[in-house]
Amino acid sequence: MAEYGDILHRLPQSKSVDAVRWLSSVSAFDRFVASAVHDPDAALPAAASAIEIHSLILAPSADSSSREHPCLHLRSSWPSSSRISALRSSPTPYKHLAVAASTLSGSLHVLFVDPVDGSIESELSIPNDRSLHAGVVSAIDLLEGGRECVTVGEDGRVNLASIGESRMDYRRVYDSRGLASYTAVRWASPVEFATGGLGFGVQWWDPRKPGGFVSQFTSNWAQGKTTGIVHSIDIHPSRKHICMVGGSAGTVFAWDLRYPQQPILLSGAGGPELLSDIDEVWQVQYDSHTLSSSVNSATSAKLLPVMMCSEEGILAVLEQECYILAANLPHGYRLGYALGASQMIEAMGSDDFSLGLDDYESRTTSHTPVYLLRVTGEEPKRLLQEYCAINSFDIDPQNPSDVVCALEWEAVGILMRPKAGNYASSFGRLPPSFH
Amino acid sequence: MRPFIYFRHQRSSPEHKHVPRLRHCSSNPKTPCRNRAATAGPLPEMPGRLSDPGADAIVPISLESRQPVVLSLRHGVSAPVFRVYISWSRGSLLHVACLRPPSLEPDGAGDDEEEGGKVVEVRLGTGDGGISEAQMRRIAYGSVPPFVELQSWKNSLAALSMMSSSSFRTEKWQYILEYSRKVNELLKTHQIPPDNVIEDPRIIVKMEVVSFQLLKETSSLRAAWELMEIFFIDKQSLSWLPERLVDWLEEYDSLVTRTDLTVYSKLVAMQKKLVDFKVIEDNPDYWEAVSSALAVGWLDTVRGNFLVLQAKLLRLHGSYQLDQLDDRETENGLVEAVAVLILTMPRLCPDLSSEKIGQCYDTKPDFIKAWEKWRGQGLEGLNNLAQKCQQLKPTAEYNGLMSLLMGILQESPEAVLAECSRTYGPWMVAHGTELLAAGSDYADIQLHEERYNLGSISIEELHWLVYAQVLSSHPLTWQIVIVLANCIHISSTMPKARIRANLDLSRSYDLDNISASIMKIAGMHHWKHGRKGFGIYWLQLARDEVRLNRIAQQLFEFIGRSLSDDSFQQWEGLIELLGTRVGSSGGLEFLHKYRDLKRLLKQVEDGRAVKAARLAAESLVQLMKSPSTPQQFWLPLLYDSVCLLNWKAQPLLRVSETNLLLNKLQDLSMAKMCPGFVDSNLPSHALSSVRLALAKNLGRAILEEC
Repeated sequence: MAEYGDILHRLPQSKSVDAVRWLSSVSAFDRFVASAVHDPDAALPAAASAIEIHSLILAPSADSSSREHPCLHLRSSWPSSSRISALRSSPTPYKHLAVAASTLSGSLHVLFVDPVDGSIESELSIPNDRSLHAGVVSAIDLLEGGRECVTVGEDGRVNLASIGESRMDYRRVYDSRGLASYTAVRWASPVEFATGGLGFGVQWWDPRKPGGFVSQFTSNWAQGKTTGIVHSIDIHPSRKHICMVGGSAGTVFAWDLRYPQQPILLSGAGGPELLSDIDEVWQVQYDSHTLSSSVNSATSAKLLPVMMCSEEGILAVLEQECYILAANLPHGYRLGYALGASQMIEAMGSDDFSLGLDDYESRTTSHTPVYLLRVTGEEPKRLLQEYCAINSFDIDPQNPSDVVCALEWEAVGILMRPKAGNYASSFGRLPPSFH
Repeated sequence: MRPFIYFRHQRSSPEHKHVPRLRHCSSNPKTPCRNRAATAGPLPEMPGRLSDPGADAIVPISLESRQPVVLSLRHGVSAPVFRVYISWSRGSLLHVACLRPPSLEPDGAGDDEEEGGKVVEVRLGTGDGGISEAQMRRIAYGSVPPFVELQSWKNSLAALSMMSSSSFRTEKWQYILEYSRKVNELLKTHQIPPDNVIEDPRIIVKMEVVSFQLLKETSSLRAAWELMEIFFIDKQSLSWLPERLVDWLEEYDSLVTRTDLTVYSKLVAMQKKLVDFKVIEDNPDYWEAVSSALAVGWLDTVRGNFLVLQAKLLRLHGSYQLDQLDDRETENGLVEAVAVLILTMPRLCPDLSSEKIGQCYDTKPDFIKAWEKWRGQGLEGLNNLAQKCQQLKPTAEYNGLMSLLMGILQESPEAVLAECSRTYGPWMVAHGTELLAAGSDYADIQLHEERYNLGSISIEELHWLVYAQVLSSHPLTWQIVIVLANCIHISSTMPKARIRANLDLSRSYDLDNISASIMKIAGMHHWKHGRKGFGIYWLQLARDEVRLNRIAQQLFEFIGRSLSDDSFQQWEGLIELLGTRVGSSGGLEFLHKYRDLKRLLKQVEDGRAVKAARLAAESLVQLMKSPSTPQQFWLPLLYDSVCLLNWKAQPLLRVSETNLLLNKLQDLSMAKMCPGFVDSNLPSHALSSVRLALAKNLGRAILEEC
């Protein structure tokens, strides 16, 4: 049930779709989608898994409405010896697109795809001889430009693969020998990246520095109420110091390197429980579409809107709750100033503004009392509520209104949101009590 | 004396999973193996229950028809084979493990180093026609939303306890009809509009081919579904039953017959044969042609040429031989009566397309008059004739759709269920029970009555269990079970699935011990494969003290060697995990404290602050007091902290604390004499330097406290 006029088109694939990515295309008419598929019924194990490159075609719908019906047309397919565990893509300076994929058996592959016809031009591999990873490669990330790929695994290794035009080499950044496992990775800058693992741990790495990670965040915020695994990290290129993290127990939080002890919980135990506590957030990604249509929310204090998908079939856009730090609150008049938002100043003028404050804690610093207020945040925009899990999704970087997702029930979903405008009214809005 | 495996194919689930009856027969000739393997008809067995043929069977089905299938395995294990293990793998795969006897010779003695055995994968039943597995899975996925909606509506009604009110009844029809329509829509294939907007002609061609294939695959299932909808659900059109049936026949004519030939091709073929055959009635093709021609209403004007043919056929029909007079007369009469009836059937539609048969009436009164007349004309007589014909003709020839139709007409829910199960498989049975139960109160009771011989579940539940088992046997569909289990009550038969699914299921059924053991299994699996962090994570969730303690011992031994180095970072991730207070970590929280002490000591060594030294001393005492600190770490702890004991500015430990540490040292030297003592890899002077430092500290502390 899509809301806000969004339409999800389910395109059955008759095999498991493990991951999907958009491939940036050269023309607006040819758009490519890479998908990692797996067919457990294949006669030969070697033919069970593959990476498929599809072109997306918009056909007019049967019922003369103006909506277009997307179809996927298979352009090329590359058989993989083992099931794909992670899939990433990036344009390269060599006039082709790079698609990187890791497997459950520990190998890494990079395919070069022709951006015009979607054919696979060449392929580079690091085989699964246990040298790169012993066992499952749990996550990879391709650096913008496709020069370098970072891989992490359940075996506790962190590797950097440098991708040339005709060869691929790698070096070991770290090996915890299974004492810790890493389950998510994301580049923050061309030289730094963040990983995630067990116990909601997030690590910040700079391979130029010797030894292991530079800093580490662990989940003390939950006060021992919950633990879990990080499944996905996203870092926005304009805010490299913030890691957006999604994981077990319906948890989405932001870890700000500048305030490493205080994560900002968007969803999860100890914060706003927007998702079920047995849900798994499989992926998080900053949603630039929502941003582009909501000018108001782009204040520096706020986190950017983030899209997430989950095991319980939810695709939603989450936004940070509005935290206000105000001194001497009982007198009130500084609140609006602290917030810096015109609506809030307006609210201050009315008598019943306190109705809008749904939480009220005081924090004492050494000198003056400081109050931290939590104002009811934006409701999450639930884009989809499916009966089956949504395992992966990708927002088209060139057309951010379009989202491709991998549905558990052997289908690729294409969600086409209205190009612009519809969201503007619902963003930057204060709770009803403020009006 | 090689044991053999005996399979019996059961056709009840041809689409998704073949469930052959499997008996592992011993080589004892007295065991009546074959008899035991007899099936109890299409009704599936409960897991773990041996069926007694006849006793549990709801519908008697003849057993003699199918021969047992003997599969020969090529396992390549040289004789003697010591043991054979058989287990189900996913889908229709069977794992057969053939083991040789354990070698009696000492290790490495034999030159012929042979494998100890082999596991052979056997793929059973490669989908004999019908709907492909992928297509069936798609139907399984698609039918979940309408089913869940129907169930949640039922549940909300049950909560309001208004099951008996009359408004409920009408509402119920609407809901079930909606459910049926949605499923029907699902079985229909989505025709992609062949508009020529896309330049690439290949794409369009491909799509058309695909949709055509799908249409053929699912149409039989859809025909059956529609048939049940017509008879059981659509109360609105009950009075137009014959008319709807004719429309249905028109659409699915090719499916009713055994072959895939259309009526047209059959008649053309028949026309040629007519010349050659003398006694055309003896030819089965003739009957098929006539019946299918009648079924789809071949008497209409558009196809006038076939009217001629029809007449010819009917006339030919009369040219029977004298000795068959009685039989043929009956059949002849029936055929002609049906022909006339179909030709003159009144229909209430203002503008009947010329494709269809019947006489049109614009207004309702006219129609009703004609209808009554039409009914009176011949239905009674026709019925008698039909029954006579039925007795005369053998009945075993029906295919799925016809038997289903017969079952429906005989008002026998058992027969309908049996046919659904036999021809269309578990999906159809599970979903069709809703329609069947709506058809009559009798069927409703039959389906929902708890049955002792099924383990106190109803037939409907039994079929859902079977369907759930089929779903959970495939790696792509097992997740559906979770969704279904959340909306209907499936008893606690666990599908073999991934950790999370099982956890979900056990949570929803309050089976905490099961979820705990699943987490333990996951934990041990990771631990054994060297993923220590993951292992501890799952065991912590499972709150498994025993295993965590044993793991702790292993870890301590490992750490005892490596932790004194600067390789702390390696342990960092693991130790952070231990710091979370979820569940228990056995003795492992010691590691966390130990790490903190190490950190403080490092600060002390760097010459920083008295504060760090004080904290370190506190934490040292706490660690030494704590019962969870393993004995083997006492000396290393103290040895690491010598700098604290020798702290120049002031004694950091009080007298009582120093005494405690000295006592521990005493205990340690006692323990050295016990068996099982683990010595630390410290230099030999470690003990004496610790003693000396403690003594010094004691002296200074006494002076201080004076």
